[in-house]
Amino acid sequence: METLQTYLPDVFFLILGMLLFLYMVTDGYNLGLGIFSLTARREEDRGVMIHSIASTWHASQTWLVILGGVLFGTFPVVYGVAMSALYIPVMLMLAGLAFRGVAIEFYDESPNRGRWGLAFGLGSLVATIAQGFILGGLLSGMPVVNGLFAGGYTDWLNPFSALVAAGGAAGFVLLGTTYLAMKTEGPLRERAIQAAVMAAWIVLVGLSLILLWMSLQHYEGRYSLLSLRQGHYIYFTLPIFLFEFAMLLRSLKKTEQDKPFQWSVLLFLTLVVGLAAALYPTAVPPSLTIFDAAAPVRSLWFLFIVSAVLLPVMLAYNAWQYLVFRGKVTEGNQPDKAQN
Amino acid sequence: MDTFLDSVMLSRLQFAAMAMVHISFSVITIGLALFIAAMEGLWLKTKDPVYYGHARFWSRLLLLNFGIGVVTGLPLEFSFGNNWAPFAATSTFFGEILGTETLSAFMLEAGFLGIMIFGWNRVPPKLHFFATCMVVVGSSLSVFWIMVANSWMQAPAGVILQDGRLVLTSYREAIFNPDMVLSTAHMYVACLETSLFIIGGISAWYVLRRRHVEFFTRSFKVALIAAIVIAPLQVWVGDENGREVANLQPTKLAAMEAHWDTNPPGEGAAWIIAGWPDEANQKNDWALEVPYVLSLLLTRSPTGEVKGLKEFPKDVHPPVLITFYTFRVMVIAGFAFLGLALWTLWRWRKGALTAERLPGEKWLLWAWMAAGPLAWAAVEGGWVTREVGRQPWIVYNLVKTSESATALPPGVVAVSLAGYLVIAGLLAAAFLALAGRVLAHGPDAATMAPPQAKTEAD
Ligand code: HDD
Ligand code: HEM
Ligand code: HEM
Repeated sequence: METLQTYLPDVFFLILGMLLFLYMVTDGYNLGLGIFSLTARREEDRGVMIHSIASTWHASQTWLVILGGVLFGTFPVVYGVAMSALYIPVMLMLAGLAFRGVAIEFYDESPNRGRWGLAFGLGSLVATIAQGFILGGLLSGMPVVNGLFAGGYTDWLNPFSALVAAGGAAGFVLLGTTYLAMKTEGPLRERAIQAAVMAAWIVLVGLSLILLWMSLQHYEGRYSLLSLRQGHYIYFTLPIFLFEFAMLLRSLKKTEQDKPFQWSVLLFLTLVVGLAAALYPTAVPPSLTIFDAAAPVRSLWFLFIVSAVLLPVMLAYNAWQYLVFRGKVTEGNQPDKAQN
Repeated sequence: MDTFLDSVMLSRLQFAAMAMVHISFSVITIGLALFIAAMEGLWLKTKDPVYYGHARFWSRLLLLNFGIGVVTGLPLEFSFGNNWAPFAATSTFFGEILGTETLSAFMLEAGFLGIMIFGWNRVPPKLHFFATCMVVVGSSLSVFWIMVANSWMQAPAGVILQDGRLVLTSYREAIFNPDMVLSTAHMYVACLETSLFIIGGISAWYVLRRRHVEFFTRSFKVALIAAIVIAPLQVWVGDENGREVANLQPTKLAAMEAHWDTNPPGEGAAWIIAGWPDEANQKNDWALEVPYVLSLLLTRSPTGEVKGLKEFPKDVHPPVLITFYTFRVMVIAGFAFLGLALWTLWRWRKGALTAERLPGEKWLLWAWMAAGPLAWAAVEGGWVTREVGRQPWIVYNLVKTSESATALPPGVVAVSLAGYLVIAGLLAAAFLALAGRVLAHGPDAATMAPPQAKTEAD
C-alpha cells in the first residue's frame, strides 16, 4: 500500500492516458465520420452515416466527460492551467460538440434533415479542429506561476498547433472512414476506403512535420521535445508506427472488412503511448510535472478506489453495447425502426 | 464590484446561464426516465400493450431532451477549469466528487441509453428493461453526486482552511455535510415533480383536443397518483430546507425573507408576502406582512428569534431582491401544485377521470397544462435562491467568489457568454419545434405494438 501510495500520480498519469486514448478512438471515429459526411453526395448517404453511430456516439463523448472529471479530481492544477490557457479553443470545441450531438439526436425527427446533416458535419469539423489546437497548444508549452496560467490567451494560436490540428483532423477522418467501411456496403464503402487512403498519407506527412518541429524548436531557445527528460522516447515508437502504417495501407488495398479500422486504432494507441512516454513526468510542458500538480494523496486514494472499481465495469458494459449494435447499417435499416 | 462587467461578474453570469439552461433539461431526463421505466415494468408485468406504447412514445421525447441535456452539461464541467481555475485548485474535494460523478453516473447513463432507445428489437425484453433501469440509476446518481458537491459548497464540512487551500480532514463529514440529505431529497423530488407535471400537462393537452383520449387518460392518472404523493411531500421537504438554511446560512435566510432587523425578544418576526427591498438603505420600501409567521415557520414559536440581515457586516450580504422574489416563485408554485393535486383528486372522487368525461374537464386540463412551465420556474427559482443567496461566498464562510475566478480578459468572457446564449437559444428553439412536431404527430402506430412475437420469431 505504501508503495502504491507514492506511485499514485504515476498511476493516474497512466489512467488519464488510457482515457485520452479511449476518447480519441471512440469519438475520433464519430467526429471523423462527421467531417467525411460533409462530402456526402446524397442525403441518404449522410443518413446512413448518422445511423451508424446514433446508438454509441453518446458513450464515446462521455469518455471526454470522464477524462475531464478525472483530470479535475486528480490534477486540479493541470485542469485549471490548461483550461484557462485554452479557454477559446475549449469553448469552440464545446460549441462544435453541441451542434454535433444535438444534430444526431434531432436528425430523424426533423422535417429538414439536410440542415441537421450539415450541423452534424460542421459541428464535427469545428470540434475536431479545436481539439487539435488544444493538443497543439498544450504541447507548445505554457508558463505557470503559482499554479496558475501566466501566459497569453491566444498563445495556443500558432503555426505548430495549426499543424497538429490539421494532422489530428486527418487522423480522425482515417478512423471515421475505416469505421464506415466496416459498417456499410456498396459504393459508400468504396468511397470511404478511397478517402481513408488519402487520410492515411496526410497523417503520415503531418506527423513527420510535427515531430520534426518538436525536435527542432530546441534551436530557437524554446522548450523542445528533446529538452524533456524522456523526450527521445517518442522515437522508439517510430518503427512500430511505420509497421502499423504499412499494414494499414495493405489492408486498405485489399479492402478488408474490419482490419483497416483496427490498424487505425493501433496507430492511435502507438501515438498516445509514444507521446505519454516522451512527456512523462511532465503534465504541462515545459516544467509543470505531475508531482507538482497532483491533488493531495488522500484525494488520489479516493479516486483510485473509485476508478479501480468502476473502470472495468464501464469497459464491460460499453463492450456489450458495441456487441448489441454490431453489424452493417444500410439505407432504411436504422438501428431501431427497421424491424417493426 | 466597482465595474459591473469585470471578468468575475461575467464568469458568474456565464455560469448562471449555463446552469439554468442545463437544469431545464436534466431534471426532465431524470423524471421521464423513471416514468418510462415504470411503464416498461408495468408492461412486462401485465402484458398490457398500452404500457408498451407509453414507454415508446415518451422515449422519443426523452431522446430529444437528452441531446440537449448532455451537450449543455459539458460546458458546465469544463467551466470549472475555464472560468474557476483558482477554485479548482483550492477546493480539491469538489473535483474529486465531480470526477466520481463522471465515473459512476454519466457513463452508466450513456452506456445504456443507446440500448434503451435503439435496442427494442435487438435484446430480449427483460434485458431491455434492465438497460432502462440502468439509465434511471445513472441519472439519479448524477443528482446525488452533484448535490454532494453543491451542498458542500453551501455547508462546507470535513475541511480546514490551510494556506489558502481547503484541506480535507474527513470524507464522511464532507460528503454527509449538514446540507446534503435535505437538499438532495428536495432536488430529487423537484425532478420528479417537474417531470410529472410535464407528463400530466402533455396528456391533458391530448385529452383536451380529444386525441388518443383513452391512451392519455392512462398517463394522466399515473401523473395524478404521483402528484398526490409528491406535491405535499415537496412542501414539507421545502419547509425543512428553509429551517435548515436558517441554521446554516442565516445571511441567506434573511435575504430570502428581506428580513433586515432581528425581532426583539417577546415580539414575533413577520412573514413578508410581497414587498420591495431597498438594499442600499437596508430596509423595505413597502411590505405586505403577516405578523408572527416567520418566527412560527422557522422556530415553531410565535416569538422565536430570527436574525436580521443588519446583524451581519454589509460585505457579506447577498443580493436581497433577487433571492426574495425567486424564493417566492418557488413557494407559490409548491402550494399551487398542492392545490392542483387536491382539486384533481376531488374530481376523481366525483368520477370525472374516465376517458368519457375527462375531456369535458376543461379548466382542470388547462391548469395541468400550465403546471409544467410553472414547475420549471420553481426549479430555476429555487436554484437562483440557493446560489445567489450564498454570495459573496463560493464556499460558504470560507472562500469568496471574487477570489475564485480565472483572470481572463473580460472581452473573452463576454464573447463566450454571448456565443453561449446564442447557441443555447438556437438549440432550445429547435428542441421546442421538434418536440412540438412529435407531439402534433402523436403516438406512432408503427411503434405501438410490442415486439414480442417478432422476437420469438427471430
Ligand atoms: C418543483 C420544484 C420545487 C418546488 C415546488 C419547491 N422547491 Fe424549493 N427548491 C427547488 C425546487 C422546488 C430546487 C430547484 O430543486 C432547489 C434548489 C436547490 C435545491 O436543493 O432545491 C430548491 C431550494 C429551496 C430552498 C433553498 C435551499 C438552500 O438555499 O440551501 C428552500 C429554502 C426551499 N427550496 C424551500 C421550498 C419551499 C418552502 C417550498 C414549498 C412551499 C418549495 N421549496 C417548493
Ligand atoms: C443546475 C442548477 C443550477 C442553477 C440554476 C445555478 C445557478 C447559479 C447562479 C444564478 C449563479 C450565480 C450566482 C451569483 O453569482 O450571484 C451560480 C453560480 C455558481 N454555481 Fe450554481 N446553479 C446551479 C447548480 C450548481 C451546482 C450543482 C453547482 C456545483 C456543483 C454550482 C456551482 C456554482 C458555482 C461554482 C458558481 C460560480 C460562483 C458563484 O457565483 O458562486 N451550481 N449558479
Ligand atoms: C443539480 C443540478 C444538476 C442536475 C440535477 C444534473 C443532472 C444531470 C443529468 C440527469 C444528466 C444526464 C443527461 C441529461 O441531462 O439529459 C446530466 C448531464 C451532465 N451534467 Fe448535469 N446536472 C446538474 C448540474 C450539473 C453541473 C453543475 C455540472 C457541472 C459540473 C453538470 C455536468 C454535467 C455533464 C458534464 C453532463 C453530461 C454527461 C454525459 O455526457 O452523459 N451538471 N446532468
